[in-house]
Order: sequence, then structure tokens, then C-alpha cells
Amino acid sequence: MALSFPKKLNALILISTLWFVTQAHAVGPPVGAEPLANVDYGLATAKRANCMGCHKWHGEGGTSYGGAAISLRKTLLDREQLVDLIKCGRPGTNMPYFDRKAYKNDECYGLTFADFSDDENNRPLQGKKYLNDRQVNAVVDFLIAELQGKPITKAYCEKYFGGPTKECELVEGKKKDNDQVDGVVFER
Amino acid sequence: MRHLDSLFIHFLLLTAFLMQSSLAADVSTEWNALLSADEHPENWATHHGTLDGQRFSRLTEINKDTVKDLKMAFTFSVGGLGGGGGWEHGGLEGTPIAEDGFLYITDGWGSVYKLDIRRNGKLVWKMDPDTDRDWAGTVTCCGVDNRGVALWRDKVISHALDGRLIITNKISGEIEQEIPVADPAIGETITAAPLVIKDMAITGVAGGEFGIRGWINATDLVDGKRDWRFHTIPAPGEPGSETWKPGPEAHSIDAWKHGGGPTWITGSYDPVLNMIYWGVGNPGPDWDNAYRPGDNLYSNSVVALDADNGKIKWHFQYTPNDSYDFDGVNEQTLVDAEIHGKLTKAVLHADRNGYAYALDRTNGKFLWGTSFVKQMTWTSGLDKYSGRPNDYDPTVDVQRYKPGTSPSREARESKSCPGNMGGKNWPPTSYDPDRNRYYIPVIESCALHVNVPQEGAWKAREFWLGGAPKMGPVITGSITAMDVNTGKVVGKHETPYPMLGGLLATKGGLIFAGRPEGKVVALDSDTLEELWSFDTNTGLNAPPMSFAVDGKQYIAIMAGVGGAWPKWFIASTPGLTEMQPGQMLFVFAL
Repeated sequence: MALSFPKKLNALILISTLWFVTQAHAVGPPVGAEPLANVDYGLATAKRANCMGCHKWHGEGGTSYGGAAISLRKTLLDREQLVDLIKCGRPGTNMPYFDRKAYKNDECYGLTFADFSDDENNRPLQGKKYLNDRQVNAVVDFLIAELQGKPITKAYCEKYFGGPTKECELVEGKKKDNDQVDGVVFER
Repeated sequence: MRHLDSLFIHFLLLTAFLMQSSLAADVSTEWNALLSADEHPENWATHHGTLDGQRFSRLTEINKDTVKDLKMAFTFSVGGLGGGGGWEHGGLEGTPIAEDGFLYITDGWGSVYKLDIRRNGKLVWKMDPDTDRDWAGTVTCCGVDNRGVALWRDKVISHALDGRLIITNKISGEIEQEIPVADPAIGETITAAPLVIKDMAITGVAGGEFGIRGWINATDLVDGKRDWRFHTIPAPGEPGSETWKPGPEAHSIDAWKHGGGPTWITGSYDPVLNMIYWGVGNPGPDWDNAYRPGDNLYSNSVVALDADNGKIKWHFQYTPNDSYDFDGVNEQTLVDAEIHGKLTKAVLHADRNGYAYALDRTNGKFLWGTSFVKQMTWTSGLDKYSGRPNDYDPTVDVQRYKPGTSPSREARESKSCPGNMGGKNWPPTSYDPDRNRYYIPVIESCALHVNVPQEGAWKAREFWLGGAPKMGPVITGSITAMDVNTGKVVGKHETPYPMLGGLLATKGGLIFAGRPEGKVVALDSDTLEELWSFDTNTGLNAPPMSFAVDGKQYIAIMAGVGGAWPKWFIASTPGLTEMQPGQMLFVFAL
């Protein structure tokens, strides 16, 4: 059943509030992270799903044709929140959903596609490809193990590119600044 | 006996030498062949078919009556599918070049393939430039693309994404010379096909999203040295520099240094006027026009250059102080046509901003400008005398155009129709001189924009956008026909998806096009009715072209979805989400 407009508005406000609370001044990895068994598979999946198309190879995000993506290194979202975010995306932003069932029932923020039937500007956007639960969890494993709360390193760069490249020679001393996207409402 | 052996060997050597010389002479592409390309429609001698950029084939075997019998002749599986940098795979956006029964095609990473049509597309040789994929791929905004080659004497001239101009022997496929032209270290890459003018290769550069200062470059193919380079963003003191006023930050005072103005679509050439016509892309940072107050010449413009020295003769700007990423880089089509009832040397252009323009190409005078899209919101029209957008405000340095359409530091989100992808993107138009009609592959779109003030100074190899597009509205397409005499839209063939592959008009009364869901179609040039189609089921992102061998006409098109759409804009075309990458050349004949 479609939510009334006030309900949808409340849901969107809740999404945004949770988002900004969890993004504020993020400095380190979450406490009590789960064992990370699928890091390499998660990286491969993240590449195939175009995660790094917007969050960039280094995970610091920033502006691109994909939007102004948040820093995956600074995010304070916990594992469950990351899983939900990947599955459901963020309506009203460029962050797409990757769960084949998203918005077909009300498991994503209590919203369905019907709630956006007259609001194409804020409709949920489909990801480049669907991810199943195993893939979503692997991507989260990768995010937690390699990015969240960590600096960019040459070792990570070479892991991402599959070996030494000229790009990775620039990494040492490279400082990415994601401050410019603070307060913008369309981060991935 | 030994003497006879020696004589025989000398005879064989002489024969081989003569054969080789004869072969070399046969395959030499002389300047006159490019100048008279319209008289030899069996060849597709230069990127746009002819130097005027019309993309019109004068072959008639395939026509309105016979097209129903058009069938696939052969295919060729192209390489270059591998990824690099931030890209999972390459794409095919190239236009094949045809000469004397051979096709020259490229993949996204710049490999060149020579195919023998008389042997159903068998590979003669492949030249792999060994492109530095990660280095170049990390700073290409919009895909791993290479739009084709040029021919010069007994050489094939091509580009690699990592900035090299490559001269390859046409017979052997061996690289003879590699000339660095663009530098990925500062965000420069090359995706455009070179344009050979006399003994020069003209190169356009990509990197408008990475804060380059754009240019058009001429390389002397005889000695490999630079002939000239025209910077599309003037330096202080040069004409046009007054349109780059100091921005509000310490690092935006000299905004021109990273002002963009890329030139990644191959231009056109008028041999009588000896002028090159080339489109110039968006200013940077794209969505933050407060960073760069002023009209920002020569961004979003066409420039007419003296071919001998690269000096600017005139310019016309489509969208001053752009904040929509409307670009202006699209191809320039030269026509000698009736316009308002008078035979005119004109240049046509269909812009990302949704307007088609006709200018007098001798002096840049505006003749007409017409919206070719279904939804147009960012300005109410063009001034009938100057061609400036009606909502351009000459009293301010930072343009807003129609309220609510332009993102700004004060109103960060906006929505415009067309959106930043157009209108019409790089896929080329075609012009039919028999009908005096201009055909446009249209992206019928609206999109949102978000301004993110460019608070940080420029950093090499970082996006330089000052904002971003935001997806939402579903995007469709059309093939739109315009009457060049009146400047009016006279037909629109609507398509379920945006037109991402370009058009070919033929003297047989047909318009060929590839659609992104994989369908190749032939439309009636008069009615735009679909007369024929073929499902490749591979995303089509390249223009069709035509050639003939031994009197038999062919239609060829590269198929391989790539570029910006699958990576950034796929959510706007939900039906294309599952389209798989592929790399194939399809060739059709009766």
C-alpha cells in the first residue's frame, strides 16, 4: 500500500537525518566489526557494480558525473546500515538500489515505487546491476576492511588496480579532501 | 650457371621491388582524394565521410525499394573489451574508414584493425598501441573510447587515449612513429579521430571535467613536429580574455588556467576558405559558473581557424557562462544550401543545449536557431539577430538563465530541459543535400543539476566539476529532421531510448541509425517511417557509415555499449540496465 505524502516525507526526512548523523565527523572504523572473509570478492563486486564509478578508486568520493559521493573512508555507518544502504539506495539522491526486490515491497524505508509515482525527481534509481545478499555482504566486508577509517595507501592502490601502475606512484602524500560535499543532499 | 642464377635473383628482386612500389602507390591516400571524397562514394575517406562533415553517402544500391532485402554480410569480433582505470570495459564509438576494399576500425583502447572486405572482413593486421590503461583510464570522464583513424599517404593516423598520435604503416601495420600530443598527467586524453588536412594531423583534446586548458593541435606528419596549437581558452591579453573575470576565491582569480574548453569531436574543413571549423566544449568547473564570471570564451563555441597557422578567424558562442554542462563540442556540418531562400555557405550545428544553429561560415553571422527537443526550459528561445539565448543577461557576469533551471551557489539544486547530456550529445548528425535536410540524433531529456562550490584549488587528475548532474527523470530519444532553408523542425521519429550512436543519410533516400538497445534501423528520409531493422542485441553507441567494393554497397556499424551512459546515466533509461558489453562490427549488404 502506498504511503500518503506526509508518510513519505517523514520517511525521506528520517533517511536524511540518519545519514547526516552517521556521517558527521567520521573518524574511525565501527566498533565490533564482523569477521571479514570476502574482501577480495567484495572489491571485485564493487568494481562490477560501479560503486567506484562515483566513490572513485580511492573511496574518498567527491564530485563526478555520478553525483557528489560521500567518502567511504569517513563514513560512520555500521555494517547493518551499509547493507541496507546498498540494498535500498537513497531516494532523492544518485545513490542507487542494488537489491532486485527493493521498493517492490516496503522493506526499504517503508516505501514502494508507488510512493514515487508522481515524483520522478526523487524516485529510487536502479544500480548498474543487481547484487544478491552474498555480494552485498562481500562489498561491505571490503568497505570495512580496506576503506572505512583508513588512509589511502599505495598498497591499497596497487590492490585496486591489480598491480603497480603510474597512478599509484602519486599516492604517497596524496590527501583527498571531501569537505566540499558536506551539506549537499545528493551524496551516494 | 652461377651467372644465370645471379641474373634470375636480380630479376626476382626487381620484380618484387616494382610490385611493392606499385602496391605502395595504390594504397597511398593523397590530399586530392580527401578533397574529392564526394566523387568516390565507394570509399569513406575521412572521419565524417567528407571534409564538410555531412555524413552523406552518395551510394544508391541500397534505397527505399531495396532496403527490405538488406541482410547481414559478415561480422568481426573486435577486441578492446578489457577495463582500465575506473572503467570495467571499453566501448565502441568509432566510425570505420573505408578505402579500396579495406576497412580501418578502432577499439576503445586505440588498437587499429585493417579488414579485407573482399575476404568477408578477414583481419589483415592489428596495431595495438599498448595504451597505458590505468594512467589514461583514471582521467577519462566519459568512457574508454576511440572514434577512429585518418589516412595519409601510405600511413594510418590514429590516437591513443594516453595522448599519443600514432603513425602506422598501412601495408604492414607496423608503428612508424609515436608523437606525444596530450598529457594525462594534467588530465588530458584523446578520444577523437584525427582530421588530416594537407600534410597535417589535427588533434582535439578531452579533459574538460579535469580542468584542462583546451586546445586544437596541428602536427606536421612529414617531420612529426607541431605546426601550431590554438588554445581554446585565451590567456590574459589575448582576444577573449576579457570574458574571464576574477572569481571570488584566491584560486579562482586565474580561472582561465583550468577553464576547460575541450575539443574531443573531430571538426570540418572548407578547402576554398581554407578554414577549419571545430566545436569547443564546456568551461570548468562545469556546474559552478560563479567560479569563472564572464562569458568564458571560447567555451561552448564554434571556432573557425586558418588551417595554415591556427589563427582564429571568427567564433560564435552558443551558451555563455554555461552552468549546465551543455558543452558545444558537437560536430560542425558545412553546407552550401538555400537558407531563407538564398544560396549560402553555412555551417550547421546541433548543440547539447537543445538548439540547432545555422551560421554563415564565411564570417560567423547567425542565420537561424531552432529548438529541436520536445522540452526546452532553460531559455525561452534565441535572439533572432544575435542567436544569444533570450534569457542571457548582459548586465551580469554570472548567468542564471530561466529561474530554477541553473544551479548556483545561492540555489544549489535546479532542473533543466534538456539535461546535461543533451539535447544532442557527440553522436553525429547527417545532412542530405538532395533534400536540404538536417537529421539529428536526439536525447529527449530533463535532468537535475546540483552546484557544489569549487572551494578547493585545482589538483591534477582530479574531477573539476563544481557540482554534478542528478538523475531522476526518465530519458527517451528521437531522430529529428530539420528543413535547412527555413530552420524548422519538419519531422520527429520518436525512440524509446536516447539516440547514442549517430546517423547516416544516403542518396538512396534512407537514414540509418543504431539504437542503444541494439536495433539498427533504416528510416525513409522523407517521412521518417521505419523501413528496415535488425536486432544486434548489443548496445549501439557508434555511427553507421557506407562504402562499396566492386560495385556492391555495404552499411557498417560498430556495436559495443560504452561511454558515459552505462556508468553514469543508466538509471535514466531503466530498460537498458541489463545491456551487456560487447565488441562487434556488423556489416550489411543486399
